[in-house]
Amino acid sequence: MAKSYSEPELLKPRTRHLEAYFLLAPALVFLGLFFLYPVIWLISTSVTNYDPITGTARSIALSHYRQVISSAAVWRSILNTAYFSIVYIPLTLLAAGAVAVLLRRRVISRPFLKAIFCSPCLIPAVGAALIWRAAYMPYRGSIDLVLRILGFEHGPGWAGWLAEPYLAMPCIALMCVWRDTGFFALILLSALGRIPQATYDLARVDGASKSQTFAFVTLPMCLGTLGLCLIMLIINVQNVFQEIYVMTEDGGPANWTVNLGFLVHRRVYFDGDWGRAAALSVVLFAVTVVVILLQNRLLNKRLDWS
Amino acid sequence: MVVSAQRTHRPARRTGRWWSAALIWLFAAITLLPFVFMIWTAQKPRSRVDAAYYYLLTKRQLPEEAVRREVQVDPRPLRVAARNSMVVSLTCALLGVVISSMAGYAFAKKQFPGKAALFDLVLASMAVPTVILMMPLFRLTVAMRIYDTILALILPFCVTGFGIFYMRHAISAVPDGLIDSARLDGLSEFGVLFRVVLPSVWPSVVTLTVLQFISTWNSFVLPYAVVDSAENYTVAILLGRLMADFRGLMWNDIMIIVISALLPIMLAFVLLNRWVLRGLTAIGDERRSPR
Repeated sequence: MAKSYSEPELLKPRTRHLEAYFLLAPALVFLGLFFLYPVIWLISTSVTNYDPITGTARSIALSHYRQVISSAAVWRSILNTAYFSIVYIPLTLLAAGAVAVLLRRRVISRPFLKAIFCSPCLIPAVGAALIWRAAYMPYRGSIDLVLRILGFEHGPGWAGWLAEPYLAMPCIALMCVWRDTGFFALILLSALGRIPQATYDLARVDGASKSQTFAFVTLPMCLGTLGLCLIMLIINVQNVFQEIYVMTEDGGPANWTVNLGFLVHRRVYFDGDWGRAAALSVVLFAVTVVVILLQNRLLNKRLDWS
Repeated sequence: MVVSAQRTHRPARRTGRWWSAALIWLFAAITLLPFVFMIWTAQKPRSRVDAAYYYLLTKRQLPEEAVRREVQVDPRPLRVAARNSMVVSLTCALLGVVISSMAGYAFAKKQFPGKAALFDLVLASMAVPTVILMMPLFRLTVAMRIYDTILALILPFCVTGFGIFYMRHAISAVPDGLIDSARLDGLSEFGVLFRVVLPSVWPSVVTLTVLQFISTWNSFVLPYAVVDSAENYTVAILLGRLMADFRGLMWNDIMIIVISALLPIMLAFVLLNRWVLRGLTAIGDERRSPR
């Protein structure tokens, strides 16, 4: 940043530093107390057998981490998270991309459409989950009713969309796709708007077809934004908890909707094993950070030429 | 925000064929469908919503008087929750914007040792999965003696990494000369910030206030971890705990509660449409920017 010409005469460097820290102080107090301290506390608790009732803790080194790696429940929840992701991430990106490209064209009442697409992500996530849970209800839920009107009827043994082992997680993921598509569409729309007209003119001069223009101009120019969307989607996946809490309550059917976040919650509130829960939390946070760093590095390398 | 003189791409009129308009309206209809379902379920008499469900669980027919009985949903918990949500969200938004602006100003316009490390802290706080903070925040609020109070709903959530990040980006567009001349005119640092810098980026200030308000209004996981009794519930906590706390509710009752809980936020969205859309777009644009 360019140093301004008048500052040296007005203030000594040390006073200027003090001023900056003074401006930062409130924010740092809040972030330190409610973000940094909890994370440090989690790390230090994860190596003890902390008892939430008596408050006593004895160091037991890394044995919790060994348990995390060897625990079947943890691997199961990782698989469930992956199952969620392979439905949620591609569908959201595709739907958001389609909506963004369509909105980019001249359509009537674009602001109105934008408002419609954004409405799901502005209501409380728990409210959205409740709406969908009601719709997924067996026999009398709106989805089943619509299916019946269309001529598909479930047999007598049908327990509902959220009670079928293979269906429950994709159903929750579908709710999240519905909720987040508009948000990502808006981000992609503004990325499309930043592509200069000259690039398209050049492509046309070179005789590129429409699909070629899309594949070799539009897509590469949006790569940075797509990467950002991917990072935010991964953060969203790690944050999935309230959806499960509302829609299947206990991670059922038969643990098919228990993801890592829900497992942390279960360890804290049902098993009361805070040391193990802390170890699991640290692993969850570490995985998120590593994925984001890796992706950032890959994308930066890719973006250098543009 | 950099205003470029470059002409950006806008497809010619004839590419906007009828099918692309049809497709976008189809997408919009799908987006609205769950809301239609919500109203559809809410207006049905309880018998038709739940008789089959009841039969499935108990293998008995729903009693005739239960079908006919008109149920009054008690509006008091919702009213209390709405008041709490209003107080909490407003305080969080205003406090958060002031503190984020101060920090953003320091990050944008000041040089000081440890700047990069502190900014990394801000970035890291945006990537932390919320669930893992439930346990430490519960313990922390108990230790601070604010567990199960309105303060516990405000203090941990008013300053967000995103707020600081956003204000830093907005303020970095303010020319240095403006700040220097304000300082030469004898304004203090606070005077410079609140009387020169913030007024010149006021659209961003409004946007951040609206975004913070909405995100506080909607957040459930962490507020639920620091609150226990029903008189401290916010609307989002009430919705999240609905199934567990009020066992007798039928689905149409639940949908009526959901609708009345959504109405204020929908109304706010209609009134502040422009700011909300601007904010949602900004989340993408700003995070993308190189540090």
